[in-house]
Amino acid sequence: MSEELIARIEGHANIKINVKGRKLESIKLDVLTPPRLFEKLIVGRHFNDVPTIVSRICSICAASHRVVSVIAIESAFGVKVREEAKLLRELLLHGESLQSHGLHLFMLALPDYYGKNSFVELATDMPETVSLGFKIKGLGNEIQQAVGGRAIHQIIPIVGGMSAVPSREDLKAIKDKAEPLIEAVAEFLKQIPPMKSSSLVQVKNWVSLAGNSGSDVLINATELTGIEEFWQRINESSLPPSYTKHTLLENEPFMVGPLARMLNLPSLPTGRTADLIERLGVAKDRSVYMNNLARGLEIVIFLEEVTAIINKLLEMNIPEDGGILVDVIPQASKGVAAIEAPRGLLLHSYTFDSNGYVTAGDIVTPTALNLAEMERGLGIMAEALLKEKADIIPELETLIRAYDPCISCSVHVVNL
Amino acid sequence: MGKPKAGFYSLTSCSGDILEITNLGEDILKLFDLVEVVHLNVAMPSTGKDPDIAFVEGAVTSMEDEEFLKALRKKVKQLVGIGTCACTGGVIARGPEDRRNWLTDVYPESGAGFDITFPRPLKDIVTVDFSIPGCPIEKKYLLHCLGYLLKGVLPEVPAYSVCMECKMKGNECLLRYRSSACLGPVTKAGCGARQPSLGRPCDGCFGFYDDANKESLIEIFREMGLSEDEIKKRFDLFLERGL
Ligand code: SF4
Ligand code: SF4
Repeated sequence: MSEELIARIEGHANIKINVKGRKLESIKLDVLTPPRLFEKLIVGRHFNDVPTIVSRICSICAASHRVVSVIAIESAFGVKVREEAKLLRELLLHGESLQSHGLHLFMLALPDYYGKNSFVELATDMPETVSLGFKIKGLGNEIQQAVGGRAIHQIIPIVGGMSAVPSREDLKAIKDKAEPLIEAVAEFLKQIPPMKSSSLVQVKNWVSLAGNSGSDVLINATELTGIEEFWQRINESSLPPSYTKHTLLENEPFMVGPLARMLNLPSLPTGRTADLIERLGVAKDRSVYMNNLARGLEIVIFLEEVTAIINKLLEMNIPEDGGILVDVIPQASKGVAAIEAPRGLLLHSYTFDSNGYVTAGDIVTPTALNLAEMERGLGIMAEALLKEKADIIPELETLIRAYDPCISCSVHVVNL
Repeated sequence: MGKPKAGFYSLTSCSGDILEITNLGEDILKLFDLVEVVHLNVAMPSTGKDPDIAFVEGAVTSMEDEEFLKALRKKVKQLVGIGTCACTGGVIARGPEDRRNWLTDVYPESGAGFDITFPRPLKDIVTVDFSIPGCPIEKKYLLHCLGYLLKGVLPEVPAYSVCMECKMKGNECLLRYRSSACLGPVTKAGCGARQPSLGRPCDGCFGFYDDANKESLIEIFREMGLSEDEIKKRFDLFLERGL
């Protein structure tokens, strides 16, 4: 029996393995960050306070929580926000993904590829690589700061639109930094060495939003289903001492996140992305480790989209004083919304009374959706490795990091 | 004398304050030059060494959090709370003290077995040498405080409210001209009036300022037409125990 606190992930978790001789008896991933009961905290709250509260579920994907919560509320009240506000929100979310992917790929995952203990060690041998990571993360934060008002726990997205508008200078400065990074990251990705035992754990089922619809999910690149229907089909359970729930889709674990999004791409894109997908083998290989490279690939894609969105915004010539807002009239209703957060599908649902106060809330986060799949992967890996050696913890930790759990957000509720 | 040993620890939180430390970008490598970092879970495996100075984010919400914090206190010369959860309990320290019903509603099969308590700030459990508020902490404010703390001196911090910073920025007052329920008048300065500068009322995340005149702000909110319940909820977002 061995127990370790996993480093280089967000929050606290343990892998608990029971081994008899060289045989695996059981394996469990315990989330140790206690529940904060957000769905209960928002009951009785005015809709305006909800995005501020729920963004505190997670600092790494605070923008996703804030934006999806705002969209769920807008859908409850039938609010149609302006096109410019939608574009700004999209830009903000790309900023968040750049910061999150930059942090994960360069600071948390890459040391595994080069046999290092941490990015600080990596910085001694490969300073340019670590510095590239900092540039991506830094740009992501700059976008969140300019468009969201802060790098963490953004302020500007509110129900009805955006309360402030970034200056043209800020937008141009972001574009100037994004453009040269596209090529630099694409080149760097081609040099990442392959990971040992990478074919061992293959993803069996995967789920992501279908395109930019925001209303349907795609399962295993073939099955299309509505968000609310999907929500009803998943079921969850929890056992102490782990503080989080394990999610299954018709009794099967499934994966969400960058690799799931890549495997669900409707058709192979063209140009640089297609070339990279081919070179990295992301579409062919369903190894969980590919989640790291899929993250790298998304950095390239998001950087391209950031420049495209900024070009559009600059053409629109939005006045810089004041926000982009439409009127909001609360009504008794329910609103559901889904979004692709950096780590995958994120679902929020609220019910309101006629004055706009919450009567019930439900939130399902990507890490919670992924936990059962993580245990499945860990089991396969442990069983195979135990045949060869006794100390398998480092490999298991590496696998966990490829899944990229964000434990602070895994604590959530469903089925109230 | 070697470099001071510093550790960064998380209790129950969104990890935002530790993330904000990684957001220092390449400056974080300078931090690694100035101090020997013995623990920063998000970035490296723990060295197992005891720190001289510990920075702790998050609220205390379980016996495990509590024991960890007490043990840490015994090992260190200075203990610094970072972020609003560590300072006042934060956004999660709302609602009823007894959360057993919440737990069993949310986790029907297992909730009764969970060992959690009402979220408490660090100072409810141990002696805290200094607190750096903010949800999350402000990088500039953090660096300012680190500079002092690493020399073993308590930092100098502003003794006025967010309103003062707001006026220094030349913002148009939201409370006065847009009837927006801003908590700036009762909130400690340090964020540079972040929200009012972006057209949003202050939510009070830095905590009450020492000479806060709550009564007069409540009177203004009443005159603006807010109900007693709305006023209570307004104060009950980040401010310690609200009203
Ligand atoms: S907007 Fe808020 S913080 Fe600024 S002066 Fe008015 S009351 Fe004070
Ligand atoms: S304006 Fe108020 S809520 Fe916003 S960061 Fe400053 S103290 Fe916190």
